[in-house]
Amino acid sequence: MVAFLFYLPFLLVFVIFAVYAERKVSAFMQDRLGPMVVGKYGLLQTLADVLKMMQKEDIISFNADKILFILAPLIIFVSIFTGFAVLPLSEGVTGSEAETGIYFLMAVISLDVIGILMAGWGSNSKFSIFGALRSVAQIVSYEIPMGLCILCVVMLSQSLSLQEISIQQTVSLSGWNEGWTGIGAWYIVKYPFLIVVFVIYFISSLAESNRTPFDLPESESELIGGFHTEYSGFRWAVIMLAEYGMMLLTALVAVIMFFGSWNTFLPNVGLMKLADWTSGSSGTLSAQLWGGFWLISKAMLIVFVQMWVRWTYPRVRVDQMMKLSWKYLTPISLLMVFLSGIWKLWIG
Amino acid sequence: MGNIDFNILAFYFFAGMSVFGALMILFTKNIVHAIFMLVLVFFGVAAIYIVSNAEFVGITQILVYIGGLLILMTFGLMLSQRVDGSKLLSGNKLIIPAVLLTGALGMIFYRLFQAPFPLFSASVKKSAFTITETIGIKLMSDHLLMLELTAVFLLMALVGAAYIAGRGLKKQKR
Repeated sequence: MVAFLFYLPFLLVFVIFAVYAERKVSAFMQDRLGPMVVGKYGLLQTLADVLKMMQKEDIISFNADKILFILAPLIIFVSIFTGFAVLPLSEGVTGSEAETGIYFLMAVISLDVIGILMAGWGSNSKFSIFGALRSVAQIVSYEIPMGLCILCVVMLSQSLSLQEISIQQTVSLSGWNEGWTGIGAWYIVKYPFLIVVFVIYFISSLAESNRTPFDLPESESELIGGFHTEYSGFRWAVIMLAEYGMMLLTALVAVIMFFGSWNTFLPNVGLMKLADWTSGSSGTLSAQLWGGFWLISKAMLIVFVQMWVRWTYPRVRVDQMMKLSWKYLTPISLLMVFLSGIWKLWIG
Repeated sequence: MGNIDFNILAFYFFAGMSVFGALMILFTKNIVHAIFMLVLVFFGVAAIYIVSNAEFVGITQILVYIGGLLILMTFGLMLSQRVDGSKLLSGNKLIIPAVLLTGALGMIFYRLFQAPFPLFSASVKKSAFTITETIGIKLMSDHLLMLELTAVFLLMALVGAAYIAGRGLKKQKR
């Protein structure tokens, strides 16, 4: 359970810097400068924003369903943060050893839909309720391809435990690349068709965290803020925290499932023991630090891609969103589950 | 105070949570509140499964009942009502069916409570596989036919739903 103690403070720091990064990334992509005033290169902009947000009046609209309105942000955040419980950080710092591992993760993050519905209904505003309905339709639809993608990896690794999946990617013990280390042992190299699975997983994860091009639930141009239109101050901050938490969670799960988890990407080549040099010997403090470094830096790269996509693609329409999930992603991921079975039985 | 069994304590806590949720469903007038109380009931039941070492069943309970079924119920309710602006209230008009059902349930429970329900003792036979692994192995060996039949049945439901949804669409286009 030790990894859990790392992820809560890390999430808070991550959100502050992710919001700053998001603004800078979007600015550079649109040939602007982004925040430049507060601190050097605008580095303290988010801190100033947080300070402002904390001072805001806590508004609960008169006709809102107060209990649901107050509970909703908590449920959204708690259900997403519970997902971090099973994530490992390095070979020694493991998450919860629950047998069901990633299955548990899928189950608890599906609970955030309840919070979104509560927020949408409790606000007693038409924008909120439309946002909530869209959000729920989207999350429920994209959970299916996402679950099937995870099922592919579970079939190939024959384990639900994320730590077990990570360990299998240190050195490849079976299959065509037996004995490979570094990037060669990663699932995405060991089972090349997982590239398709990763793309489907990535698209679904964007939809799950309500990010552009799937930000219909909070599309500013039509719904003001979607299900969190009526929220302000700290309650809004908690919802925001949950959204960035979801981004980080899906990025970490992607790294663990496809990109070698806490393992280095440098392989051992002949006498150049690059993998051993960049991993530290097992059980020592340096191994934990290297593991954490690799896992987090790879996850940050995926978070960057999420931001890149957000500022590159326009929002999809509701029918396009549904079509993509049910007509393309679900059948393709079903096919991939089939392929995983064949690959596991014939190639190993 | 030394020998409090935390499993028992947790069991009573979660069971109490479920019962509280169920009672609140009965006494609340607001249907939406009732549905969210149902979440509490299902959650308590899932927690009881996990406390009684049935982790896989517990997680499945959360995934299927709360993550799937309940969401659809809430969704349907919100789509069908509220749009016309009327308040959603539950009442107590169907007294006769309620009395009949309570009587029937009482008859069942009377017999059930006469049967002995021994508490789980910790001396369970150690197996080489964990519980989740055992479930997987059993599903793929002893209960394979059931699994396959369920899978085909679900696929039929999916295809049927797509057919029914798509049929009206084509007619409209023509």
